[in-house]
Amino acid sequence: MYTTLICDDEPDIRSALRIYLTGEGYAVREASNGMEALEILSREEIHLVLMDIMMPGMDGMTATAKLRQHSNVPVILITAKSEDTDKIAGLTLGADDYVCKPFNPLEVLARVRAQLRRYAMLGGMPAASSALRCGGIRMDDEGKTVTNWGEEVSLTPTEYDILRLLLQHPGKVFSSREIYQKVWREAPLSAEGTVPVHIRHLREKLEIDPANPRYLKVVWGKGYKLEEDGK
Amino acid sequence: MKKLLESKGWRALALFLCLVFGLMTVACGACGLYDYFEFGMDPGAEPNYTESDFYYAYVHERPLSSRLEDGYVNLYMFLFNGRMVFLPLAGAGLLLTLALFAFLLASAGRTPEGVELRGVHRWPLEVYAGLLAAVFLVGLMVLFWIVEEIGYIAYLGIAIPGLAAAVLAMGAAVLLLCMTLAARIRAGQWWKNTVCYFLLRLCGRLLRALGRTLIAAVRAIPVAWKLALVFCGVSLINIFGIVLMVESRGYEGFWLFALFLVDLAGLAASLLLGVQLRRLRQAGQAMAAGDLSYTVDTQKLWGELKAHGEDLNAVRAGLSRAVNERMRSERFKTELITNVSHDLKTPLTSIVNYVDLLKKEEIESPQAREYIKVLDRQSQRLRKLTEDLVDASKASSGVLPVSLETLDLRELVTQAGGEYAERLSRAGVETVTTLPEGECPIRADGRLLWRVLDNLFLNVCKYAQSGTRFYVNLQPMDHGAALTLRNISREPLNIPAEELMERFVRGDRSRSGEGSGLGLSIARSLMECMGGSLDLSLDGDLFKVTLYFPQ
Repeated sequence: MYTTLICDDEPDIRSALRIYLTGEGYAVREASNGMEALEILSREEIHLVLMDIMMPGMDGMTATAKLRQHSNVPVILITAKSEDTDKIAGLTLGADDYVCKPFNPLEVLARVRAQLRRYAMLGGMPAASSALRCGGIRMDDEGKTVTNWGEEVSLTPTEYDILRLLLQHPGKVFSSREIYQKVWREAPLSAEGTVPVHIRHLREKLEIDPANPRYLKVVWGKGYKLEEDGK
Repeated sequence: MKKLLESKGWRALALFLCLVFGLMTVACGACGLYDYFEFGMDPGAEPNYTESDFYYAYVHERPLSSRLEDGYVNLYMFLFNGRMVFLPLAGAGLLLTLALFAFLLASAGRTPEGVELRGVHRWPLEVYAGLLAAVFLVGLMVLFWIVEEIGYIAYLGIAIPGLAAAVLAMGAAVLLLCMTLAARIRAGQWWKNTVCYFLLRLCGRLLRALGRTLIAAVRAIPVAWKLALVFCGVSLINIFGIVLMVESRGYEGFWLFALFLVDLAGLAASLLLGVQLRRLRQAGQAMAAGDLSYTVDTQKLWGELKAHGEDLNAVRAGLSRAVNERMRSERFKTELITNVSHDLKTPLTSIVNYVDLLKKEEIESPQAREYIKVLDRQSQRLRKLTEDLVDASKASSGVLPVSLETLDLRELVTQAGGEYAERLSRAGVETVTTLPEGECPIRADGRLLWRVLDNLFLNVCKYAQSGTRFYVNLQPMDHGAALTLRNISREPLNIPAEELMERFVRGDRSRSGEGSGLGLSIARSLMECMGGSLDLSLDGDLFKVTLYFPQ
């Protein structure tokens, strides 16, 4: 059983999150600010931290930076600001993921699950020679299987080919037209309109929040790329 | 030493001593020189009263009483007895006098509070110097008179004090003049306390006032009259020149050349005026085009044009101040909205979460379940509203960071179509897309542009009549592109297009259902942030949005 730590100054949000997390079978500890969180972390074994950013006393950013000095426990930031700079600052300081207020509880649970899977399998999976990976997405080209944070994902052959193309060139932007040419192996002739639909499906299968992807990103007006957030 | 120089008492003593020693020097010097020529510097000389020039001059030729003769004999013997002493005494007196003179010069004008002009030093220099010169001249006259008339003076007892007084007066006049000059030079403004300076300054002020009046008079003349005056002046010069040319026999060529030069100067002046006018016009055009950083360089402009240039600059400064003020207040408003909406988000999170928890409870009453559904719907709407509110205020106040780059609008439209393909077909809307063959490059910020299309496509999903078509038409133009979106509205759109763009206005007027009523307003603000525009037209149930993009 995993133990999670909820750090938020709002008691109502803490207890709501506790209800969801205990419902999923996790043990829960609570802290109302960064100092308390660091204290609990030094006393007990914690497997995941949910950290609010704006708190009295010590804020979430500082607490994250402090706990990163001696721990690699997964941290998910809870932020009221939806500005990109805050997200990037949080990820750079050592957070692993973030959710924006007002958050959807199901999204929080999905992110907690993903981070715990990653934390549990750290170093455990043998690196297959033909494995392509980006973040939690792994593709075994020999077995034709794709896993997301250890969970197998079933893809159609077209989706598989598109994902392989993007995984082979992480960070490179492909336009719909290029993807069509490389995957279908024929001239697009205005048929590339299907590519975004497939990409959308891929995002729905691989991303927790498909509207705000962390890996399979849309570069609007240019194309698509596969890249880890904050890296 | 400094104290010594600044003390008034010591200065008075030194002045007195200097005069006394000076007098002594003069007296001893005079006696010594007489002795030197009369007896030489011979210790063994014999007094020979009756053969001396002295006796000759003052006694022999004049019939005098014996008593007077006694006086001269006494004087002669006094001069004879002191013949070895007078010159050294004079030398010593001279040295002392010079030393004291130097001290007085060094001390003049000094006070314990620093160098300051007081008393006579404050008098106008000419007045004081004139007074001293008068004293000096009177002394000189007395001296000459006594020397000339000494033989007639009944008593030597009167002549010698008279001589001493005259020499003292002259010496004092010279000394005081030197001291006041020293003091004034030390204070650094010897010319300021003079009548000449005062008069010159008065003249200067008068001239300046006169000049100012003249300039004001010229300024008061309207421009048209000024031009007429200038024209008359030039004509007069020309007529005068022609008259001169005709009258001067043999020098016509010279006068013709002079006239030519004058007119050439006039032409140059006109050309310069033209250039200056052009500069003013450029500034006006720049300001009209909205460039509020353009300032007219009034240094090189003349008269009226300079005044006009300064006016233009003032207009520009006022305008940019007003614009800045407005920008500041807009930014403040945005900050306020952002902060408030952040503060709203925390309680909203609790509401959303607990409503979700309520939904999972086993609740018997169907009414309670219905209420929870309402709570759920409304809390989701509130959530969307807070997000849209921040977006709208940011986009309309221009604080949104915009990074323009060259994008392919064709790709973006394809992407947006892919994102919405399923939602549109679920809404029962058939999408008909017309795209150009090749790429369609525009300058835009991809993420902002996606939000524009996101809002517009979402509107179609929400408000289009099921079973109709949604036309997406991308048309490249000379400088940029136009994207037209057309669909048929489910509800009758009986409000003007402009009003539909206002914040919080929605087509159905009932304000039920999802959405914040900010979508179109945000889309238009974002388009304007990127230098494009959004046009909306309503024709019956036909809802048409056209986006224009710069290249």
